[in-house]
Amino acid sequence: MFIGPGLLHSIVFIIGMVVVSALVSTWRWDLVSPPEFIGLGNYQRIMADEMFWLTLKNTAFFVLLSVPTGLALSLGLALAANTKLRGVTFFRTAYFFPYIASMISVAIVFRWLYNSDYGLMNSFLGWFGINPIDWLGQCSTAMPAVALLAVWKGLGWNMTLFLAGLQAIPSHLYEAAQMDGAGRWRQFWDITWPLLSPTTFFVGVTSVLGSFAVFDAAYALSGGNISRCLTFYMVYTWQQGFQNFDMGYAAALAWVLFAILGVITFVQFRVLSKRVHYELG
Amino acid sequence: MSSANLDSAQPGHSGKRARRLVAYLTLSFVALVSLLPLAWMLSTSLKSRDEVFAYPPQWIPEVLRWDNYSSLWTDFPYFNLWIVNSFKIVGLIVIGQLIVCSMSAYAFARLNFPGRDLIFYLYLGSMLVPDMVNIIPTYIIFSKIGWIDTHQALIVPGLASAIGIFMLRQFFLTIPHELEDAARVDGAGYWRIYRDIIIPLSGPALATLAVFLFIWNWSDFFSPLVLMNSPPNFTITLGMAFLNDSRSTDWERLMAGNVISLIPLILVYMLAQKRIVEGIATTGLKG
Repeated sequence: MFIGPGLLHSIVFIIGMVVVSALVSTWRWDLVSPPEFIGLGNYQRIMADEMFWLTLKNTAFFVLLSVPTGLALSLGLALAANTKLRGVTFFRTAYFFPYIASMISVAIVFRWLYNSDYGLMNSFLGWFGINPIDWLGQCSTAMPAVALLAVWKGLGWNMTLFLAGLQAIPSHLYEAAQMDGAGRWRQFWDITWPLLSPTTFFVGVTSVLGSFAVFDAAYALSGGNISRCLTFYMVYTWQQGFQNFDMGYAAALAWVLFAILGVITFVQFRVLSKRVHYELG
Repeated sequence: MSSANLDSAQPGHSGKRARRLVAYLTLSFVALVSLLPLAWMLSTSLKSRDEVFAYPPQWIPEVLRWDNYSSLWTDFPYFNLWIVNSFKIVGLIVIGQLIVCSMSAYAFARLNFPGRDLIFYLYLGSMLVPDMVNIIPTYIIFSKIGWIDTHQALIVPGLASAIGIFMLRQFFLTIPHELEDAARVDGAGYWRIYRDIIIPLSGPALATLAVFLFIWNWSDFFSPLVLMNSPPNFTITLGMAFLNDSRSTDWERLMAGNVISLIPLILVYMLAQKRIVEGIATTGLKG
């Protein structure tokens, strides 16, 4: 009885939808004319689709650009914040603002910051004698521009996770290390890094999953006209499904993404979890 | 806990001071970078058109143009509706999830029924399914039953979530059994225990979930983008993206609209800041 409503809801909206989606991915269907069963035809089409490979490459590049940067910065920030300083609460509050703001709103603000003629970014770089850059107008800078927005927005969240991880490390370990004469660098690599590894693993896996789904940022930064270099995987799937109404193809693309994410997550668990120390953490 | 000893990690006083200074500088710099875009949004929202396009940029407008805000309501006839729609949709989702998820979570935490753990793991696994996999059949089915461009298309799928069930289950598991045992001796059934013991003790966990659900759903863009067609039905987040496309250089009013759309999020954050941080620290990791 208790589980009834929740179970009913998930049977319809999780299991039901997954089944329907798998079914639709074997159809050629524009929602209007009757669907035509084509087996794995959509998947064959994907493998030969130049845009599939391009958008997958764009997305992978974005993930490689934003995830390691985000991890390194948020860990560094957590280390700096994990000290008894006055005002740490204020700092944490500040870091969290970007997280709670909606991606659409902050991406609109960033579109304005990146504006080539009047943007704050170029005026700031102007102080150092750097000529104005058309940030969103060319592929070489548009991708880092999206990555910067993503890192900026995720910093507070990831830092909070790292901080919780740091605070769970028993302080007597550091005391013992000091007695043995270990310097701060040694303490970091011998104590902090291994004992923080469950947190690092968790933040890494969730960041990769989240970054693969990048959509809102590219959409709002583009102001309605998404360029080829910001056409990420989700953007392409959305275009196929809801602009071309090629439902079967979009469903197949979604399943391929699911498979890719599944493989990546599985590999992360297999390769990295061996190095994660859970005994004390 | 480890913070105190990190400070005293090294003997030299000057080393400690230098480290403190570096920490302060780092923290301040990042705080500045975090807040600067939002400050710039606020500044732009109060400028005249000339000031918006002044170069080099000007931080403080000569006259604060509050009419950038009031003109949102007159120039964009649906702006009001977008905010009302967002409150309605997000409010119903939050209430629905608190009820549905707390019942499911109670079942997972306390009741024994066949397949319980299997179902629970399926729930956890479902968090990995990309939104895209679900949204396509959702769109297809809703278009067959005439729900496209209606608010129930956003509300009904949002009434339960794996993350909500998971968060509450983790909390319920920490409630001591003794209370329930005593109630059971007095003849209370599962329903009475759920209503009179579990729920009253779970105030903090329910509030934390409510706060997160509010923030996530207020910001949700993808589902409204796919499922809504006509501007009067938009949420504020979708509405802002719509203005961003159609009035793309009307910067001062885009920023004013952004400020309005962020106020509810900021208010919720200010009221529940501690809750959010603790929520991340406990439920984010202990999985």
